[in-house]
Amino acid sequence: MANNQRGGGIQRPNGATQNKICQFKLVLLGESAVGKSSLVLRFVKGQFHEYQESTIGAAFLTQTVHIEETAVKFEIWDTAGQERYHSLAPMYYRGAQAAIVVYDIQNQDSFVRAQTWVKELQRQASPNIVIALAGNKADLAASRAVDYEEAKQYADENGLLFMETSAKTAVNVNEIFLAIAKKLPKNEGTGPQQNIRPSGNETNRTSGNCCSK
Amino acid sequence: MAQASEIDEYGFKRCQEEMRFIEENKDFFTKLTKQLMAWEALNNRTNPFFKSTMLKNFIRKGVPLNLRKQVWLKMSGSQRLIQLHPNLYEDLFRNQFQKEIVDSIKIDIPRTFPDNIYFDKYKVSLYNVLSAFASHNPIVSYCQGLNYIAGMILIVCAGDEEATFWLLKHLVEIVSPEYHTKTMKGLKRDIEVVTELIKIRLPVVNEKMNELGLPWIVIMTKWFICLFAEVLPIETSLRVWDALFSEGYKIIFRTSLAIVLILKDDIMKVEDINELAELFRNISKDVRFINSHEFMKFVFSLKLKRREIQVLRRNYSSIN
Ligand SMILES: Nc1nc2c(ncn2[C@@H]2O[C@H](COP(=O)(O)OP(=O)(O)OP(=O)(O)O)[C@@H](O)[C@H]2O)c(=O)[nH]1
Ligand SMILES: [Mg+2]
Repeated sequence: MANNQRGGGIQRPNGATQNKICQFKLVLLGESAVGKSSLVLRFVKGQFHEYQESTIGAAFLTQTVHIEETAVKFEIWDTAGQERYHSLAPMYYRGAQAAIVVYDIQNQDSFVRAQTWVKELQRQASPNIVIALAGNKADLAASRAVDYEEAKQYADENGLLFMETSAKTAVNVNEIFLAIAKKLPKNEGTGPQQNIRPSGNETNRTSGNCCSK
Repeated sequence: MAQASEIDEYGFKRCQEEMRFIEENKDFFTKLTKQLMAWEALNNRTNPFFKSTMLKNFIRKGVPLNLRKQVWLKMSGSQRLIQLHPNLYEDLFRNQFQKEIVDSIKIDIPRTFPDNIYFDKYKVSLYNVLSAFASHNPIVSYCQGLNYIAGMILIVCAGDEEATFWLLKHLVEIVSPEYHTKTMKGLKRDIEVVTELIKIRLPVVNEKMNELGLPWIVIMTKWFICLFAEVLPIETSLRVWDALFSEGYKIIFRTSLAIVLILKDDIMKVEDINELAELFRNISKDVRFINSHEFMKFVFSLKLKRREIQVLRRNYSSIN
């Protein structure tokens, strides 16, 4: 069974020592049923459920990807999409270093909603937050309602990473997490690192600097 | 009971932990059978479910599945309301439902208990009950999570829509007021109240949670919104509901406290937020919660006064 490494882009040669471990908090936002939980399930477990249960409140999972000498561990907060859960959202994106804002390419409203999420993050979240926009359900392009070009242009204008993804076929799922991992600041921390876990009280929930040394 | 079935009586697949528990605890089922006989005897009386301390104690030990609908309707007062408003549920279908709301309900229907083998036959009813309730109570309308509550009631009531509607109404409007509204004011207040109760009873656990950076509200939103459906093991969550219908909102606080108290040593041992989230995710597979008799015994043994909750509720109702 694939393990932590499955999300990784570049495999380390056997026996090589890992130099750095970075931990980042990543939050998923977007309208209900656009596929937030499905993207996480694909990324973390390599699975897809035709009928994914709706998320109540939030779910929490972790996954690690490897970029050259660095292991990037994502603490993933998958939130509920229904509008009335919105007032709980700041609690989830507070201190997040990265966000994936998801819409469904078949649903124009979900794209509009994604844009208001982006605005809210830019205004209220950590100033250096890395935001990616995911146009999900790319496998259903036949019933597309949101143009690739339109979304791409919006993303460029707002400095967002952008990909069309499919949790169902796995297209661009690992890729979007990897792209985020690459863009996150992995400053300092060059010493060898054995201990994956930060100790109990070192939660670095607010700082932009992720690396344990 | 020779061999435990892979599927429970409600149509859910049993997890390995539950299978093992059943294999190893035959006396659990002897107890169940005894209870069933006692309930049958009670049911044969002329006025079987007359509200009394004896009945309350019976209910605390668990209501058999075949009597649940009847007992829930009686204890919640829904039976009386149905008699007073015999056409209310039917009449709701004369109105046109609002498209936007109906659409959001439709999305959740196939996403409710997708792995339950009986649930397909209840999907139309689930849609009916949720749409009717949304139109009946526009302040709540439809809140994600109600699909699980209504779905569980439908299973217990074997598809009786009217009974499900009234029982859902009771849980949402009386037992958990303003949990499911657009502001979720009641939810936020009551989670503050439980947090305070934990702070008083288990200060170190509360500190540990702060240290790990996981606020209780993150964990408990689902507990409160779903009233422990999809959180506790099925049978245990229904035992909690037996008590909710008979004794009211206090049971929500008792149950939350019980879960935290049972997990307190595990919480103290956890090293990071990942392990903590894992711990809470596994509640439905943990034998301490699968053993519904023991769990409920513990729930009822907790010292918690209605007055204490009321005072805290007043203190926290101004915020948010
Ligand atoms: N065809 C297709 N279906 C998808 C894809 N991603 C998700 N789905 C389906 O869309 C539905 C909703 O997916 P979820 O992952 O539950 O959506 P969500 O955004 O987490 O929804 P909430 O938890 O309600 O906020 C599910 O039935 C999924 O199977 C995809 O890439 N392609
Ligand atoms: Mg979800």
